[in-house]
Amino acid sequence: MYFQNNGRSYLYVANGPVTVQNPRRNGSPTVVNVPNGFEALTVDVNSDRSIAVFGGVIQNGARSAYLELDISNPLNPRVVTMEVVSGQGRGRITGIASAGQDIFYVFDDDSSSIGHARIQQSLLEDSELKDILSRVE
Amino acid sequence: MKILQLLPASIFVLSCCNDAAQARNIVTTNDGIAIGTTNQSGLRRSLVTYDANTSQQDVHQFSNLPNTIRGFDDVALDSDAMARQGGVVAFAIDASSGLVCSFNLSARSSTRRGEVSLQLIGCTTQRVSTSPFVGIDAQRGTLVVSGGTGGVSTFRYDTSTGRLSSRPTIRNQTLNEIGHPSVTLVSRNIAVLCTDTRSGFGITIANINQSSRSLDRSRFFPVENTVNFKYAISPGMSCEGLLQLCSL
Repeated sequence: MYFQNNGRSYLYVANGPVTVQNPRRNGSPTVVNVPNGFEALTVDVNSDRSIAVFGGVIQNGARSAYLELDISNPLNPRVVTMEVVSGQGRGRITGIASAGQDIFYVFDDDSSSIGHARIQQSLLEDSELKDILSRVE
Repeated sequence: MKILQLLPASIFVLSCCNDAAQARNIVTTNDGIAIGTTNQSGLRRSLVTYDANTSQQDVHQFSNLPNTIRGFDDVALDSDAMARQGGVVAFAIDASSGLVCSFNLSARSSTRRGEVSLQLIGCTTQRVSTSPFVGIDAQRGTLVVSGGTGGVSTFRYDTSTGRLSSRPTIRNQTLNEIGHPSVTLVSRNIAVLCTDTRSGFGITIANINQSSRSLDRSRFFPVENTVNFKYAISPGMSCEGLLQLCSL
């Protein structure tokens, strides 16, 4: 859930596609454009930073990655970055959380490890983003 | 189970995961302390914290945990509760026993040696439904257990002490759907339930009526779905990464 200071709230859902909706109103969810091949499986919202982070898989489940979205415009998020991540074993990413400048994630591996990264501070240039996405496709 | 009857493609997924690692889940405080479940052998009754300020990871074991607790599967936080005492309240559910426990999570600045402290407050005593997928969330004195195919349950907790009511205020109430793998709270009286319906996946908005101890469906949103149960891991997955059908 993304809670804005003006009392509005938005619900982000990971179900393969990434969707967003106002939970207090009727209507269909908005499908968010994300990199091809990314299937979203877990999500958290960092309301203070207007960031949503999605954990998921790419390459038909072969690798895990997280996607960072700028949700300053809640119904029209923009991709900030996508990072490929791995756990201690073969499992996929199953949980993600973000607050402050931090992103945390866990895998369904046989470990106690918690992955940690810093949020990307600003939107990348289109060329930089394309470069990142091309490396993980 | 209805879910197996109506979704035969899920049979393999659900049965194949009985011996597999359980899905781990994680939440974080506003000041950079994450708390998560663990699959490490012999430590499933523990919880793990990671302090982003020090890069310190700790495994917390609880000697006074009831023997009925086999391991934790999902976690939730109420960052507003116990703020006056310098901590936050964390919750964890054991899908096997159907019990929920609460913990006092203290940040570095409020502990003597600058470490993250996680102390068991107590656990519920009456089992609630958790199968085949379950998630929890908590806010301002209300804790909700999504309940899987067995119905939604709610508990009250004291926001000044973090102590849970031993028995649910609403127990295993169904909303005429197949099931709810997880839940997120909009407020203490409005729950967002990931929902497996007879016609697909979606989101149910439900009002929690504390006085009548009932849950009322308010509205429903269908959710676009491309993954079905392809990546499902049972039993204790939250909507956050759980059933892939909806993560909140």
